[in-house]
Amino acid sequence: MNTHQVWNEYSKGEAMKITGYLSEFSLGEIFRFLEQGQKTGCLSIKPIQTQEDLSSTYENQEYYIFFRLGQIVAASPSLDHQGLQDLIERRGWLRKITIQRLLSLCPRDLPSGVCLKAQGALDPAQLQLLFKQQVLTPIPQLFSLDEGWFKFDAHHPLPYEEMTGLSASPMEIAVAGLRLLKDWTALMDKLPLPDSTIVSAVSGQPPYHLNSREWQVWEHVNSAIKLKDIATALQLPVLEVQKVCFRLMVAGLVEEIASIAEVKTDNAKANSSKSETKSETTEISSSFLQGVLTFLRTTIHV
Amino acid sequence: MEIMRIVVTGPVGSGKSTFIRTISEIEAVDTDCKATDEVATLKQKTTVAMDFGRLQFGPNVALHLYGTPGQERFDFMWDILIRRAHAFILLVSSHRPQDFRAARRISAFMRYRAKIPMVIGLSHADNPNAWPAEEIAIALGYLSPYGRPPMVPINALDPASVAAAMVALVEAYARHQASQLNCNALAN
Repeated sequence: MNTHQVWNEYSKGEAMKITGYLSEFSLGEIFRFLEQGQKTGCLSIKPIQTQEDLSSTYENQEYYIFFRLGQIVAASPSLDHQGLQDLIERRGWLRKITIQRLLSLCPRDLPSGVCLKAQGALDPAQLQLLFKQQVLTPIPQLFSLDEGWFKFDAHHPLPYEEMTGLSASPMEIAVAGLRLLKDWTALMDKLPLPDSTIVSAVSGQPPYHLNSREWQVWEHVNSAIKLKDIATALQLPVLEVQKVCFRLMVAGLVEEIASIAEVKTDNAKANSSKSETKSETTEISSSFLQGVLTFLRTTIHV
Repeated sequence: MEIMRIVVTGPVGSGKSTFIRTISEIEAVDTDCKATDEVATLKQKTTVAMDFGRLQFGPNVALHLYGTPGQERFDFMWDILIRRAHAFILLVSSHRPQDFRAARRISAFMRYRAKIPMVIGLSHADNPNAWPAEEIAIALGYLSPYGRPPMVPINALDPASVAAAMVALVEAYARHQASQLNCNALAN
């Protein structure tokens, strides 16, 4: 069996299962993962501990966030598909019975918001407000959770009844949530290290709006300066710079690079480089490579 | 004597020492000490300097395997190890998403600093909580399948499985060397 076959056999047995604790894989990292992986499905988050400042609406209650191709399209505290209709009725815009009658005139795979807009029942500004209330307001609060269990179900059908037709970038929402976060206790072990450096993960300028402090740190991207030295230069606590870098990492803008002390050998001293370790290897001959492959393949079949 | 040097790296508890012991023909040299910090909750011993193993398959030809220390405070060893390495394998426990951050950090470091061929070895893929390989690749920062290093399942206790991972790594090195030669030929 060659390597390719090993991989194929391995892949066949895979089942889509993304689960874990927020203490292990933070919500910001999950959002980055889902956006960068362009995932479609339902992310459920079940709080395990609650915080006093968390709205009672979400205490001890699972919360569901729906993704289409990596973008957040809806969010709801339940799976009964009534959330959007409740919001519309609560604002006094339409009664539920009217909404349901209008929705029955549209294809089932059309977001409710699009259907209601097409029939003149809601205007774009109202949809924006609904989306904000449904997604942008509650999600940042989830970042305050001390602990929670998350599960991403890629087979969950899209909840068209809950969708306004609008979408938002999870990474932008994550950054917004982290900016509001007061208690970082749960994220302390996930922050980049003070001795690390940061390199840009995007070409050119950041595609998102950064606040002034984030811009200050962004200016040091690719400079091979350690976070603790950035903090000194900006006259900020190291922890503050770590938090800003974490936000930039969650936004997919930078990558943390561990800074490791170089041990200067005579050869290395002559050719030292700040960013890349000078290789001291010699090329391996093709006869060696053939020999080792034959030997290893024999081991596989023993 | 022609020697190919392979670095075996990964987060604490990813199976680096076991990997080397399984494939090494000599009694692997390890520098494991009793863990006293948070590592102790994961395993009783941890590598403080490096592991070393050897695989000699001919009179003058051998593979040398070096395991990186699992604790980042011994990180000066990394520079020594990667300076002379031909290729490396990054071991990741598929069922421990909390390790993906450390694995990503190591992977980013190696991509940025060492620029040598690599393979990602995924252990515990049969665990009920294991993440699929495709998702782990994204979590490690490899968003596109193009240019992504080979990913292979690993059982660090099984010699055949370790040998299969080594085959993938040597093949990756051979492809890398061939492309380097092509580049050099074009440049000339």
